[in-house]
Amino acid sequence: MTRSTPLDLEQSFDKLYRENLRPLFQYLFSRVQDIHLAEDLSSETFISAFESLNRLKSADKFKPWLFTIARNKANDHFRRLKRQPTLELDEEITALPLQEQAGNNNQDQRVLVQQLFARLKPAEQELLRLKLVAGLTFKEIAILLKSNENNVKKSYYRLLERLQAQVE
Amino acid sequence: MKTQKIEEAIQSSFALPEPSPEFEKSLAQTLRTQLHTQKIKPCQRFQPSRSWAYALAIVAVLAIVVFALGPQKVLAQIQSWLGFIPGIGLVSDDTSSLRVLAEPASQTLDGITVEVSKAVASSDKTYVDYQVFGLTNQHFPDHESDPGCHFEPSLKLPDGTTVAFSDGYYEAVPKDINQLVLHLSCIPGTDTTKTSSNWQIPFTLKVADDLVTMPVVLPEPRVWNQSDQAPDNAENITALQIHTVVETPKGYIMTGWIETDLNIALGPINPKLIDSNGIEVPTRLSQQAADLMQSIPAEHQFYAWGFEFDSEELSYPLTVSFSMLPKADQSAFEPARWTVDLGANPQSEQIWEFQQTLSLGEAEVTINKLQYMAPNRLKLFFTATNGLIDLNIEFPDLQVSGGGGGGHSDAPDSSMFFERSFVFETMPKGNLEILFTNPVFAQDAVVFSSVWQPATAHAPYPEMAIHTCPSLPLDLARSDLPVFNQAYSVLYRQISGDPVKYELVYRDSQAAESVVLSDNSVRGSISPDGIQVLYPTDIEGYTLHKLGDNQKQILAGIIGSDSKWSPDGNYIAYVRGDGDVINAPAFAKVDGTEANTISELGYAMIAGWSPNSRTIYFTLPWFNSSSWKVMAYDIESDETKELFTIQNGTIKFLDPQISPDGEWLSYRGMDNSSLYLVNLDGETERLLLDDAHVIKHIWLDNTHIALSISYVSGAYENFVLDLNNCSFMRLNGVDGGLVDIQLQN
Repeated sequence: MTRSTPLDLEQSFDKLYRENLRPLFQYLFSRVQDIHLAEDLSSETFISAFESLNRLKSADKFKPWLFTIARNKANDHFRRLKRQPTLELDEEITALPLQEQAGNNNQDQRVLVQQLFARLKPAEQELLRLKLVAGLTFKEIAILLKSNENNVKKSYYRLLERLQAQVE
Repeated sequence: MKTQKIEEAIQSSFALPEPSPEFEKSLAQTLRTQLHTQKIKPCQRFQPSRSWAYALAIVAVLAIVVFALGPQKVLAQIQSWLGFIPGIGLVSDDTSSLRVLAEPASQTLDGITVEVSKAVASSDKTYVDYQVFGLTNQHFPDHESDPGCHFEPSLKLPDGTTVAFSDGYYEAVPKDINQLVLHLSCIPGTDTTKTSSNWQIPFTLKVADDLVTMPVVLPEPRVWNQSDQAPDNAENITALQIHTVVETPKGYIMTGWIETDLNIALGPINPKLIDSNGIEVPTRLSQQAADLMQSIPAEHQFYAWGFEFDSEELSYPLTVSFSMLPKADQSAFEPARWTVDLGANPQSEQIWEFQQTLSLGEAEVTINKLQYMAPNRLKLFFTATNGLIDLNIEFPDLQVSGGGGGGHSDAPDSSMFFERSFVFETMPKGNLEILFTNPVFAQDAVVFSSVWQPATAHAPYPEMAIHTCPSLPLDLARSDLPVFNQAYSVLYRQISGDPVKYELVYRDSQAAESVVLSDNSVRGSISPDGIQVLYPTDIEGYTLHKLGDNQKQILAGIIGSDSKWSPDGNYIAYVRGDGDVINAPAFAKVDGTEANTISELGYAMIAGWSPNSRTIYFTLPWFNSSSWKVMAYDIESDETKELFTIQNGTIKFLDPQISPDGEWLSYRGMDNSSLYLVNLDGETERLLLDDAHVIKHIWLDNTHIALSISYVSGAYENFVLDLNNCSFMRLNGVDGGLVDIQLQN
């Protein structure tokens, strides 16, 4: 007989689903660049997450848990395709060479940012995806990556500063 | 460019599409179906549920059928299901062409056993399940964000060919091949560095000559009724569809779905089954009904329904109906707005109390309380009138990252009490604006109904039904029950005004007042003489509370829960809560000396003692299954014996209990609701109470069992069941969750 349930899925289903579907789908799309594949992986992720939810000890960790599964699904996909190794976050992020100059309009800037992003290390790309696409907090990213929250935050802002310098 | 701008530029560069509404809706339906099933069928410990996978397989089969044959022929194809195997699903073969596992086959490596526990091979698919024994907490990943091994097992033929697997099934195995091998590259969910890899378990299939299947009875005639209260805009099909009816020893399992174009907020709810004499037939959402519901096509799972009922003395045809609550036209409702000042520095556990009433449509929403729960959670307590049963709560300009909660009502027409919690990225401070939107009203219910009768009325098989006691109906006038007034009990109950704290209370049913034992415990056990209580409260050890002189003694180092006194009052058996092993069985003298750990295997539950106080019975779980090993430990010889395996216990809270005469073991079933009895030889099993919402039970003597029953989370009713005649008595003065009880002599 337990005093309380960490996460009552039945009662919080709507909220969990509504709040996480969009970032999850977009995160997976950013990984696989295919809408139908992103839908498939989103479905697999939610089903796996909900079926193993009884192992989750705290409702606060649902989101990092969900995205851990999503990362694994995406990594499994790439392993099957043998396109890309599993992503791991490096503690230190090395500098990249500056990009060529781009024009001032928004389209040019978007292309430049895309180029800069493409030249980042996989771990750096993943950090940006988790923060900016998945919308995870630093604490959640730290849980997901088994890292220190401060280190994640430091890496993230260092990366942003570097990208900012390259864009300006 | 500021940091925010570069963030926006990166986000923009991703050019992310929105998930399509069709996909969003479809996945929600799929997940809701799974959730509905989980409600009564616990998910496995570390592996996606086989039964869910089975449902997907059935769905896949049906989807293919629809595509190939067209909708008109689907019904005929569905009708080819011949039988229903509980725990497996529908089968299209008769038993003579089915093959099953000849005998359990296992492999043991490093103290861990993987056993092929179930296999059914039909002409179109093969179902294989396995269970694992010997895992401890140490075998799982250290971090819960690490899912551990996630490789599915594979099935191989004797020549090494791998049998394809999809959606919970392996492909059909050739009829002349009965030797198969289950291969696990690792044990799902475990840390692959801590458990063995490459498990190979050969097993044999045999003709299913002793397999019991339940015959599938078809809905005949199939009737599509227009909803009897359908609103004007329900122009298209609105119907209650009966999908499958299966004959059970005592009656039927019936499943179906609601087909509607209405924008539904809640349902199907409020099932009614009325026979031709107008008599309401009791229904129950049994485990088997939940299993059968999984065979409903995916596109109808969102509004699927199912129940089981007894057929004795029924008069046909039967009318089945369910209610659905449509979403109200939200343009007709102004959101109710409310602003509360949390102050500049809200503190953990801080409570704000109000009596603030807002109008939302026809309803009044009264906010009673707001509580801050560290680190960044707010819990809101409120009531609503006039049939409002659901609503949305929004926080403009604030990001909510999680939460939960729900509502309940003590009586159908009374106010609803709501508790909703919200997790924020950072704890809000100062003025917090809250919007109450999207109300759902009970009075808007639309009733869907249909009629069914079997071709031949089915009489129950009397030999299968005689041992199960009828459960207490929810709406029985329980105040009319006789009162049981001869017990010392320990119970827990919510501390008044504090929704998260419970107090442990001792109650003499003949005394006027209760005695509060602890304000920080929900477990405990009463000594055989009824005058001492042992309960875990402190990290230093159990507290032994002597009620007569109100003396408390800490049993230093005896840390755990689930304690049970030996009948002679000299020993306690308990599950250890310290050390590396999670819940290892142990025992000690009542004064806390001579503590011994019985087994290093964890997740144990103490079932009780033999009448001579020499043997401790306890249970250990198989993983990936609903099985539990029943063990006996002799405290004099220090020998442990494996007695038998329970196949159908809940993985959540088995609550094993030995009868005082040492003859029977009782436990909660897979549905977390039913109660079973099994003789300690493991051979005679009896369903004692079916779907009775039993949360906790304790033997009072050899023919009486105290029951704590809960239909609403957190609300308990306590009874005594007389096994001699299946009659119920109300436990006098026992208001709360029952923890332990002793008969007064």
